[in-house]
Formats: sequence, structure tokens, C-alpha cells
Amino acid sequence: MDSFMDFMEKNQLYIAMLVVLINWGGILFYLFRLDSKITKLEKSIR
Amino acid sequence: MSATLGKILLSLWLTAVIILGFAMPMVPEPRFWYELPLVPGLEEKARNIIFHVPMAWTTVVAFAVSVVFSIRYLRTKHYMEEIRTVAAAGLGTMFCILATMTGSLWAKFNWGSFWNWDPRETSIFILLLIYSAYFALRSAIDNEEKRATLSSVYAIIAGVTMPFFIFVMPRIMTGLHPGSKGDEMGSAPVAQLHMPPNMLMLFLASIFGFTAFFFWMYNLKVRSLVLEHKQHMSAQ
Repeated sequence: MDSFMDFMEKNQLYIAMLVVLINWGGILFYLFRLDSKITKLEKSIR
Repeated sequence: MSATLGKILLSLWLTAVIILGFAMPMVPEPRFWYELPLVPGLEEKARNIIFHVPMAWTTVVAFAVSVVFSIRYLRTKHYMEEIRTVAAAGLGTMFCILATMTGSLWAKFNWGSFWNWDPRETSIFILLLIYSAYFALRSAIDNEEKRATLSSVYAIIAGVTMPFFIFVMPRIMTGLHPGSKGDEMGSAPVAQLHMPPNMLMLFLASIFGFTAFFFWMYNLKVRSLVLEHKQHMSAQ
């Protein structure tokens, strides 16, 4: 963990990348949940 | 067709914002339009402004939307307004969590700890609690109309506190965030939009892109809730 933190400290561009990845992960998580909800609805309507 | 074109354009817009957010070089004395200033202390981390602040902004937009539709629900008692309120509050909470997580990561590398109880961190934490209570309240009431009415009233109260927690409290207290009281540098890049023009353009492009993206997700969520409602009604 420490070496990871050191690496990030020295390569700060990766911090911004991690921030974008967190946003992307959150949006993906939301879309997957929505997707599974819609799939369930479609099945129940059929 | 035009809606699809809009979504494609929005996707390209956000892709361009992300690429430019990384690709524009940071130099001590920018001379060209594509160069961003290297701020001592922030360095490359300053790029986070482009990706972290729009999350908080989108939270504000989402919660404001939920207030508007909860007022409309109380006036009309129409289920569509209730659905729009719930969808906006849910998405607002998601963007609030993203703003908290990205901010926490940035805090670790700028202030040394993931969490510092800075006024802005504290206020977003309270806001998260307030909106968690909204969903707890909804799940605790079985009667649909009662649930819709009570949660709409709660959403209005929660929405009214939001500007205080996002815009007022962090500015009247001393803290680590730029724009806090006693911020001698007057750096407040976001609070007062003190940024070089090219960075400001990129920042506003990101704000616009994520806000539009929110409305796209919001539209999907509302449509799925409408289907759910119709299915529920037909099952009864």
C-alpha cells in the first residue's frame, strides 16, 4: 500500500485518472442496476 | 433520430472533455491556448477540478429537480411527479457519493488524509445522511399515497437545506477547501471561477457535459420507474 501511495505521489496524473475511474465505476454500477431492473420488468411483463 | 444524435454528440463532448483534461500540458508559464498553469501545491492534481467538481454540481442540479417535482406532486398528486422526484433524488445521491469519493481521494494526496472533517466534507456527509433518510422514510411506509405525500414533503425540506450545506456553510467557516473563510490566497478557483480562460472553458464544458449526462440517466430512470408502476398497477 505504501509503495502504491509513493507511486501516486510521484505520478500525480494517475490521481486524476483514478478520480475519472471512480466516476466511471459509479456510473457503470448505476447502469448495471438499472439494466437488471429493466430485464426483470421485461420478464414479468412477458 | 434527433434524440439519438444528441446522445452521440453528448458522448463525444464528454470524451473530448476527458481527453483534454488529461492531455493539456501543465507548465509554469503558459504561452499557448492549450497549456494550463502549473499551480504550486496542486500540480497535476489540479486536473481533478475538471472531474470532481462537476459531480458536486450535478448533485445540486439533481436535488433541485427533486424539489421542483415534489412541490408539483403535492399540488397535483399525480404519480408521474412522484416518480420524477424519486429518480432525481436517487441520482443526486449517487453523484453525491461520487463527489465524496473523488474528493476524498484528492484530499489524501493534497491534505494527507482521506477524511479531514473540513466544513465542505462535513456538509456533504450531512447531505448524504439527509438523503439516506429520504429513502429510509420511503421504504418504511407501505401506503403508496401516504408514502408519496410524506416523502415529497421531506424532499422539499431536504432540498431547502441543500444550498446551505453546499454553498453557504463551507464559505462562512474556515477550512481546507478553496473559498473557505480566511482563504488568504483568494485562490477560490471554483468558488469564484478564478481560472485561466482555457481551464475555465474546460471546466464549464465538463459541468455542462455531466449535467446533460445526468438528464440522460434521469430520463432512463424515470422510464424504468414508469414501467414498474404500470406493471404494479396491472398486477393489482
